Amino acid sequence: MSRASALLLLVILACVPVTAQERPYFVTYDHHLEEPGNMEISSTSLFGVPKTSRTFLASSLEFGYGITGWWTSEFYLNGQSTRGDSTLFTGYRFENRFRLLLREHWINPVLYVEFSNGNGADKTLKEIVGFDSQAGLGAPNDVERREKEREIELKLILSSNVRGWNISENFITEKNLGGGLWEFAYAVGISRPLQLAARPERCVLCPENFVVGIESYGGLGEGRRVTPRNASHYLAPVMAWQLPNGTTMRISPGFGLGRQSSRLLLRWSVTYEVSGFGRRVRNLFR
Amino acid sequence: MKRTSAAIGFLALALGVFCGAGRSQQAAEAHTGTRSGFDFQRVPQDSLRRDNPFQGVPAAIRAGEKLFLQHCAECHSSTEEKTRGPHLNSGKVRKAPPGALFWFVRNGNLKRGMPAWSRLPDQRIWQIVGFLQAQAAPGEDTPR
Repeated sequence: MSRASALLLLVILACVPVTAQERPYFVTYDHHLEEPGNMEISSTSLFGVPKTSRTFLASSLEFGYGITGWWTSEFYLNGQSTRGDSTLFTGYRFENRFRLLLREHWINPVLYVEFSNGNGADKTLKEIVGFDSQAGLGAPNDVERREKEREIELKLILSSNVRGWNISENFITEKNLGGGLWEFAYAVGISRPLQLAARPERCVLCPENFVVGIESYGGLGEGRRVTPRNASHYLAPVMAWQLPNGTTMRISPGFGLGRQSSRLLLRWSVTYEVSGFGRRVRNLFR
Repeated sequence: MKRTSAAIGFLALALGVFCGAGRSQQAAEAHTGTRSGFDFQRVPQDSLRRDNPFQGVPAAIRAGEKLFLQHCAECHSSTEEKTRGPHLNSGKVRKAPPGALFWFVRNGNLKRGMPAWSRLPDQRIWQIVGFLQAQAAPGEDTPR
């Protein structure tokens, strides 16, 4: 391990964890960004059960950083393993979220811009776009990995907080820079903490530490054929459990709706948030 | 060769973003560090008139202290001398209209590094406000 990597690891271990009330959704985004200077490290997995092909396990390692109060950047490393096939690295993605209004409103818009560089074997399914279907997950990894996918993705995130509930709607469009049509998608979610007020004592299993909700996501066609027909759609209950030490665990079983969808997409993640990460890294180089 | 150039370009971009963010963050920290409080002029009138539903409730104040330590103390610690944000154990905060504090915590000041805490339910923000206003001045006993 190089000296720089060792120093970085030391900074992460020495940082103070904070509890930051993570969103419970996996696909839908709300308008809450990272606190400035905080780093969020997350490991997310997806166990997929397609109807007509082999099960798979896709994983991503995420690093999110609050650059300012209105700008958050995230970097992902993705990989997957298909039963009876192979395990491989499938690429990276770099996303940025910009909050467009600096105060809270009934509806709070956020602009999302992403660049991803991967191959056709990626199965992290962070969003389902266009006419993506479960049948497309069946090709062997050896064939899919040869297909280069350099894509740009834009999202308009709209999100509201009403009486303890969060309601979020995402309008998604994606394009492969190597050619092809613009593809469209949606994601909507609603969630609420099990208890709104906090207890005086520190607790682990109390209702205030749990956020529950439901999200739905799917494709909306491509090019001039903007339609939810012949696309795959999912309905997924979500739950997040926030521990006082700064760790958040999330789980969501996504059930496929219609013929084009997989039977089940079971997602789970562990997130750890470290506060003052940027300040500590800068101090290393002074 | 093309791939290497792309990787170098990407790393340079990431480094630039990080350094740029560092400067803006430092500016924000410097700014908040010199401010003793916040500006009530920005708070809408209807928010100024709101009362804290947990005002003076001991359990809510203790819950507010717990929440403060979880979410706010990293920047507004009352024990460390040098903090990113202003110290909140001040007469200005104790005497402020509760609705103004609530509005400020909920909206933040995104340009100057204070995040919006609208992700917290209103009840928890009121508990934090209750704690902030129940804090004793330095040298006094905390009223509980």
